[in-house]
Order: sequence, then structure tokens, then C-alpha cells
Amino acid sequence: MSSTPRLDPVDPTARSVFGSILGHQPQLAKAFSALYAEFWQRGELDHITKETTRLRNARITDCGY
Amino acid sequence: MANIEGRNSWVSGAWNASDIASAQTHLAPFIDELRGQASSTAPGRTASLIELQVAQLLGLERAESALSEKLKNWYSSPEFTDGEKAILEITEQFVLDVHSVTDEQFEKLRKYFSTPDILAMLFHVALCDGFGKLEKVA
Repeated sequence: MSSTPRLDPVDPTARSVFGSILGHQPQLAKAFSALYAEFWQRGELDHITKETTRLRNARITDCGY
Repeated sequence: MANIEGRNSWVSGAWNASDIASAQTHLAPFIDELRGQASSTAPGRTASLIELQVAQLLGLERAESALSEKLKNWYSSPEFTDGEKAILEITEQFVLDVHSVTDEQFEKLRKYFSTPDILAMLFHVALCDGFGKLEKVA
């Protein structure tokens, strides 16, 4: 599996990471950011649980974050 | 509780992914917006094909249609273009074992689609896979 992004960033001078790749679809990026912000800022779960789950998921999927 | 298909749900009052998402009501409109954006920006009929294929791979109950029947043999079916077959191949690999998606499979996508199109389709695959699995287990 590749842990290096296969897609280029929308700005060729930028580093190829999730955020810079999302620039190819601005409306999609906006919707994703809005959901992500809402998820982290509010809700039933405490931040420790959210971050523990995120880290575990990132390790299993070989995500760089 | 039992859902409408008779399967038990571990989430009180919920029986499908949409209802489960709605249980976190503050997230529901944001999830709907994201899923709508991914679906509407995926090119041609790829969004429908991806949704159907993910549902079939995960064993989710969906209404049968002529297209879903043809999709069961997508690899050899003349119904689908080479570009559609390229995204169907990656969708299958993504759902079954995401670690096994290859550079070769990705290059096939590049032959037929622009980078924005690929991004929209893969986002749609990820969302269908995630919410489909949620529907499957919750």
C-alpha cells in the first residue's frame, strides 16, 4: 500500500497532503471541513475517546496523520 | 431492537445508516451535505455504480434493478465503459482490502478521469464504504 498520496495537489508548489489535494474539489473540501469541525467541537464523546479512536484508525489504515 | 428487515440493531431506535447518523443530530446536516457533494461531483453515473457495488459487496439490502443485476458481472459486461470498470475495480479493492489497492489500478483511473473526478469518486467510495459498514454492524 502507498502511504504517499497518489494525487497531486491543486497548487503544484504545495506539498502533496490530504488538504492540498482536496483543493481540486473546493465544495467537497468545504463540506468535509465543516463536518470535521462539527465532529471535533461538539457531540456526546469526550476528546480523549475521539482522539484514541482516530489514532487507532490511522494506524490500521497506515494513514500518516 | 429489531429493524424492518428483522435484523437486530445495537443502536437504540436505529435501523439504517441514515437513522444512525441522525442519532447524532448535530452531525446529520453536515453528513448529508458532504455525501451530497461527493455524489453530485462524481462524473456520469459513477456515483450510482459505486453505491450499488459497495452495497452488494457488503451484503446490504437494496432494491434490485436491471443495473444492479448487470453489476454482478461488471468485469465482463459490455454494459460498462472501461472508465467505469476502472473505478469499479478500485471500489471493490477499497471495500475488501484497502491496503491492496495498487498503483496500476490507480493508473487505469488516470487514463479515463481528471484529478478532480478521481478525488470526487474516491471520496464517494470512502463514504459509501464507511456508512455501509456502519449500517452493517450497528
